[in-house]
Amino acid sequence: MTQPPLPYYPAPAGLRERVQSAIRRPVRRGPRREVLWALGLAATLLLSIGTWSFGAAGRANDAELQMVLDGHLRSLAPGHLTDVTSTDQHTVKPWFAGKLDFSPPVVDPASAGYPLVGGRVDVVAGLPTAALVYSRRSHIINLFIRPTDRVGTGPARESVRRGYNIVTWSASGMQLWAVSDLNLEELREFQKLVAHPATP
Amino acid sequence: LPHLDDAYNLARHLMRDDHDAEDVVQEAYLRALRYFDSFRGTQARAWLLAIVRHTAYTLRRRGRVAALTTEFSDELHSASAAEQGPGRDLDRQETADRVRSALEEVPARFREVLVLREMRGLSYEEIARIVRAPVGTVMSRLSRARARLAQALTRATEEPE
Repeated sequence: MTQPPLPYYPAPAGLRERVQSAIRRPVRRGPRREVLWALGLAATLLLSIGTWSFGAAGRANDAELQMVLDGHLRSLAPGHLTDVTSTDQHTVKPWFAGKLDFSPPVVDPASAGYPLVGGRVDVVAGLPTAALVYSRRSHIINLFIRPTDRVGTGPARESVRRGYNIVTWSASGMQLWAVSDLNLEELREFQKLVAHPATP
Repeated sequence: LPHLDDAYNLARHLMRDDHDAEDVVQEAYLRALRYFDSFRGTQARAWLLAIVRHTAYTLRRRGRVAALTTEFSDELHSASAAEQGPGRDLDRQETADRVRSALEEVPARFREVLVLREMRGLSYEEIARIVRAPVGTVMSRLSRARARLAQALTRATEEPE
């Protein structure tokens, strides 16, 4: 017996439209989602660029600067300036080992008139921070140091808060803040002396 | 939408129900679109039919489709017969209905090779790829399918209406 022709079912009327509209829905959703993604990405980029550049202008880092200044003011309270009192950088630097998960660069520009007084561990903006203490005549300079994700050397930025000068910059994976009631010219000089510390 | 008729034809044969077949076709085209990146080669129809087939069996397994658990349903068959409407050539119409009924009695594994073989231009290799079986298996299944269909037809003819 030869095989009889089998029935062939052509697609019923309306199925094409039905499938097409079913397909179109996710397809149309696709680009819209991509656009959203692109917008989100652009916004994130703009935000991070904005944060970075405005931070350079000292705006977005406002709260951070305030906390750095708070740290400086706290240190001036009696008995709070140093945990390790030594004018020897080779005493101060090893002292931080075991107290911080990074090793702050310690230099002693005593010959230029900014002798190292000592160091302590501070908490700035909720993060453990190394504080090195220097003196200039009767002025105290706190140099706060902690690691940063920022690569390379960032330009020094200056700001004034409640009569205190703050200079902040980044170098070799560290963010540094120098805070003092010293005049800006001398603080700038100090900054240059400790700016690129050759890690001993 | 390329190959819509062939896609529906296969789905309809596998599901033995118009609505289920439409659901399968819609789902299959959505899947085809989603996995279009994974499509390599030139045999778009075979690729699409493989997706239709897979979708049909998936729906079947889920038990979503009642018609598939019922191997033979008078209701279904009378419904499909009613759709045909009054044919001019009653004898030919009757034969076509008998073939239809007989074919739906043939298990899906055999039915699908019969249906695919009937489709114009599908090679044994393509059918083998669609049903995921070696060519030899397809050929033996095809001959067994023909025997089963013949059996079913004979049974239908012998049984008085």
